[in-house]
Amino acid sequence: MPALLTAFFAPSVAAVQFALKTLLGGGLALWCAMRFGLEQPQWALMTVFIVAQPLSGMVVQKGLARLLGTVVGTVMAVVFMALFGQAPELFLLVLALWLGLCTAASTLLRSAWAYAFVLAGYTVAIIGLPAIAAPLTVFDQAVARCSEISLGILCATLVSALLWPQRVERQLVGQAQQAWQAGRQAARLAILGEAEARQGLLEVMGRIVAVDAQREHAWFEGARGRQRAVAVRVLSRDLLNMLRLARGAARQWQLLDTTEAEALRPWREILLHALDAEASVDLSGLAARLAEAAAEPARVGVQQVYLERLALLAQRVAQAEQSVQALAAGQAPRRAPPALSWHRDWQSAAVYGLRSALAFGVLAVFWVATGWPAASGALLLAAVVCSLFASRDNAPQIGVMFLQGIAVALPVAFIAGQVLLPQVSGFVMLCLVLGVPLFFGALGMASPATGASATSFCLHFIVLCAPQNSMRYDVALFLNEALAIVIGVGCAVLAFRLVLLRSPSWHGRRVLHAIRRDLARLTRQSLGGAENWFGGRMADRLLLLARHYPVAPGGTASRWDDGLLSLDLGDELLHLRACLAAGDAPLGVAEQRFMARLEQLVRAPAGAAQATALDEVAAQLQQALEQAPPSIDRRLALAALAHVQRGWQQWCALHEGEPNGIA
Amino acid sequence: MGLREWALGGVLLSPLLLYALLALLLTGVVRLALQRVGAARWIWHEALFDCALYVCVLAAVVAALGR
Repeated sequence: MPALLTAFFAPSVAAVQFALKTLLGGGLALWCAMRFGLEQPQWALMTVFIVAQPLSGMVVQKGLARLLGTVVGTVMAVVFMALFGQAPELFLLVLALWLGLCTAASTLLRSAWAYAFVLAGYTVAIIGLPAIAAPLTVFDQAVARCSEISLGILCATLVSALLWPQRVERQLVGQAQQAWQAGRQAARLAILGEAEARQGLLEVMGRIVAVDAQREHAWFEGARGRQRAVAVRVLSRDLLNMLRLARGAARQWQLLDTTEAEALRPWREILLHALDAEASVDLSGLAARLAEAAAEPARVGVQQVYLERLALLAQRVAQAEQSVQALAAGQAPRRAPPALSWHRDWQSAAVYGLRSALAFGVLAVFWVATGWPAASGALLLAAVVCSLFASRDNAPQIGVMFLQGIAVALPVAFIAGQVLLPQVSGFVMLCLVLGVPLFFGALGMASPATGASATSFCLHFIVLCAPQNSMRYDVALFLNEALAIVIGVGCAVLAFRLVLLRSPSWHGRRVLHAIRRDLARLTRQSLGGAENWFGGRMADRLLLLARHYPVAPGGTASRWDDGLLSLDLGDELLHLRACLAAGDAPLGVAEQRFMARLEQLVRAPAGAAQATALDEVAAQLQQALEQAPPSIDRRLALAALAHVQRGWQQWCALHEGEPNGIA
Repeated sequence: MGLREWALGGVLLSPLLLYALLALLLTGVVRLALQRVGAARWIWHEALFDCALYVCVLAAVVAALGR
């Protein structure tokens, strides 16, 4: 285990800084909580370890989410206790349902703010469970919990902002540069239409999604962080736009015959060279030259459209380059599009919510049936683990890592809490006894390999030692608590293992169904944010599909092809709509009828019979376009229309023999 | 042995705790044996099977030792 050894015995400077920061923040929070005479100082200390993260924007964001969730949770705890205080069974049932609801909501949200829902869920359990026996104390518990969490967040934020602050927004620039490089590379591969294009596409989509995930944190880092957060939205749009046009150019290339292709190859080479990582080419100039070449009278039909598509692509690449520079300079461009949209899955969220409620319910029955007082601790921990890791793909593994952390925490906490602490007195000695194990725990938290186990170690070490103004030492209580912790986490891991959505075909079907719904909506979605709306969701979904369906050698029409075809169809539709919108005179009824028909067709199950269903409205739209005065936009719209029609036919062919379509 | 509490250094331990640990051990042994024989590949949902097996073994242990 070299990784384990390096994490603890040869840590990097950043890891030591992180550990010191966390420890100082924890000490500060503990001292304040004890000085103010708060009821459970351990909560303040725990909060510091929970929100501790290497970058300061992340700490602020997570702290705020935690605070928000705690406030909602405390209010709900008091409300539930007021309503169901006399009927503990009913109270537990409502608690299980509330927990399930919050877990489902946090799974659905897919953003860093989902943490607020997790907190809103289990805070009710933390406050409500000890108050079941004495309902009148619920208000004291609620106030204590809320004030101590706030204190912990305050201390953690303060220390992380003052001591060696590391900012998300600086990292953001590096990540954006990488996404930009990957985007150029993927665009090159897409233009060439090569087999590796899938890998390139996946990589750049992964990077776009990763940069976007940091956006929320950067927002909390001053004015420049906020500017950069806005610039990220623009960059995502430009990168998605660039990829879309590159893939569109490749589709147009396939329509050229051999002599036409040979004639246009030099132009393609020039653009490919411009996209090369090291090249510095005046892209706007190149776009102008391409447009000029397209306007030559000798060019006709597909050739002209190909060159025009290349010109458009060059323009967009130039625009994306500007966005990267704007991001690096920390300037927010005006009129930024809305943020990337995410794939949302109601069914998985509902199942995960039910799983949380189920685990909680089973343990609640155990608690009521046995009457074992410590079982409420198990209940609590199962609630925390179930809601915290619900949406992770590797939830069972994380659960097991959590258990490993507990296994280490039990003996260490026994020695520190039951053997050493009774012999010392004073705050300094308390810090010394608690600080040494926690320092190593924090070191482990800094490395990704040991992160989950180390966090679990720190939290349970604190819970089991329970530092208070007047300490109580009770071996029997310790043993009971230890047992409850193991049972609680074990039950949560069991729930993760028993109830899971590992059926890839079901998952794939859900994703494709959602894609179809979005294609239908794309026919009338306002164009302003459509790029980030459709592109973001598609990126998210294609990543999901790629994870569920790794490339099968020699596999025939796979779900992945299906997803890619939908992306093509959506891209051309977006392109068509953009070209139509750019034309000066609206086409009126022909355009509306085409869009309405397409929406209707995409929603209904597809099959070979529908392959010609689009022809009539397409012909009408084509006629309307040809009658209007000719312009570049009209020509591009005509080409896009042909591609949409072709895409639709391929779509019908792919879904041949599926009586219910893909749904 | 009967269902009586176990005294461990003055701390009384529930007999079920010991039975639960014993059952865990036995389940592991049974599971390994199934793996050896080759019957394990007929299991549809492994986690569910393990869980059910554990409950059965625990019930057997309590029935055998707890009278």
